[in-house]
Amino acid sequence: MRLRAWPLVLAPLVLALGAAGPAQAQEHDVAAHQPAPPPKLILRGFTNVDYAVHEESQPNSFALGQFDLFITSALSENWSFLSEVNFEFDDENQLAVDVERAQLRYAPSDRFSIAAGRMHTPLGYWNQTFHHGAWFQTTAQRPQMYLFEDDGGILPVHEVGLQAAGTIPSQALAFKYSVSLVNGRGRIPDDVTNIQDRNGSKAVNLYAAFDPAALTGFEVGGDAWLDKIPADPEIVGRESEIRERILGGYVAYVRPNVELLAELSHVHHRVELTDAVFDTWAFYAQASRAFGRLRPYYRFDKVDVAVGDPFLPPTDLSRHTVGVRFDPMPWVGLKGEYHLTREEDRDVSSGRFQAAFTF
Amino acid sequence: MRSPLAAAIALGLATVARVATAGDVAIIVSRDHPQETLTMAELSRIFRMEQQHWRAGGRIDVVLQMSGSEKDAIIMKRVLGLQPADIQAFWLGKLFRGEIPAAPRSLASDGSVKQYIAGNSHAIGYVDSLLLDDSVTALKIEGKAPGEPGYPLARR
Repeated sequence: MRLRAWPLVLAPLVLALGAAGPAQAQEHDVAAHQPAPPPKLILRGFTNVDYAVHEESQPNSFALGQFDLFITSALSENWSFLSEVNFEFDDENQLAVDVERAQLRYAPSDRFSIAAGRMHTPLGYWNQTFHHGAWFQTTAQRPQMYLFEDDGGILPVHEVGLQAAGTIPSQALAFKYSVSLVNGRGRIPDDVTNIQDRNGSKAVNLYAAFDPAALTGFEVGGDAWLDKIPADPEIVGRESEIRERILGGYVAYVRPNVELLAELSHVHHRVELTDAVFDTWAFYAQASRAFGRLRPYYRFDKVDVAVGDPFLPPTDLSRHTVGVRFDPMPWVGLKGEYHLTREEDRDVSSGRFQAAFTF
Repeated sequence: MRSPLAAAIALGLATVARVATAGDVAIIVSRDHPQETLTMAELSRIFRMEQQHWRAGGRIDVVLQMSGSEKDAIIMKRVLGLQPADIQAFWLGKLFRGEIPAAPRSLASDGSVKQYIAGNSHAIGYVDSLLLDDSVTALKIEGKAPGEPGYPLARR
């Protein structure tokens, strides 16, 4: 896998370096006459304050959300830096600090850019559009299939390595793509391999999407993730590596007043030693409609982890979410939602109120 | 030699014609810019920063105005496809997703936009077509110049 993956990343790089000639020459000419100004730092913050009602059988509670500092800087015409530093509290009220994103990007053309660092894995729509910062998303909570790794999520929503991406426009549609060559998963889903991969093989993620010119706001796309999960000798059943293949697809139609999203993901695991196979499915569909500053919404979530999967947390859950968002001003979103969750053959009602804002 | 009356009538007709066809939103670039025309789809991609490089190379430098004028409303609605209240959140979302390194610059008046674009060969912006002069080039949109029938950014 590792040997076959390199040409996927390097081919667009070679093409783009050739195509970037005139732009680089112009940039050089300008630089020869003017001293480059120092980079300008843009800092934004996102956070939220919640009140959770009967969630996971816990007492009703106020809850601080992620305190997200978003930093970006254009270093030159074609180089830029982006990062997100997140302060959050765990279930034991202990503070944790995570560098959620830190990426250096070189973008010589629209058709090609390459980034290095820790990034959002280009999986589907939600993971690239919202991620941290609850203010962006309509709902108070993320879809179950896109829970963060440290919240019991099943997908590798962060990646560390290289990512090539671009958009190729035409009269009829825009074609978006990305190719990632990154550290693979760790021994458990929460083990994001920031500084040390657990085995020599690298993971590959391929993503493509189409955005037709005739239907503004509509997008359809898909992705494929291939990895080899390392063995974990301390756990029975994990004596050998696991081949992982994740396939995903989505359709999205987003206009200022309408939001329709649906995503499906299939996680296939094959244990190398035994050839045992485990197939996990995850899905959500969300709809919202704005009436002025009021936006009612509904979402259905489904996550069905294969029984006996040696890597993923056991989950068989379906959830209905009904809520409303009210934006009293442009940078503040107030949300209230009700969840009806069916898990382990029992129904549980819960709710969440949220004030999400950016500053 | 024309009589003073004929000259006055001719001048009056010319003025009426100018007023009737002027005041459209002109898309301008610097005089040495190689491109002369854009489609509405291209214009929209450029102003939404979905296309960030010129065909001839160089990063596009989009210049907006936020004066709240009818001209801004035309750009918002017909080019960006946004309501004025949504524009800041739109740029913030693009920044957050890493699609742009910075939001486009916004200048206060047609005069400052013209002055900036005249000196920046990769810049593009918009001004009232009444204020066009030879310091900048007005691009044709869908093959139509400001003031021509069917110009997509005409004031209606």
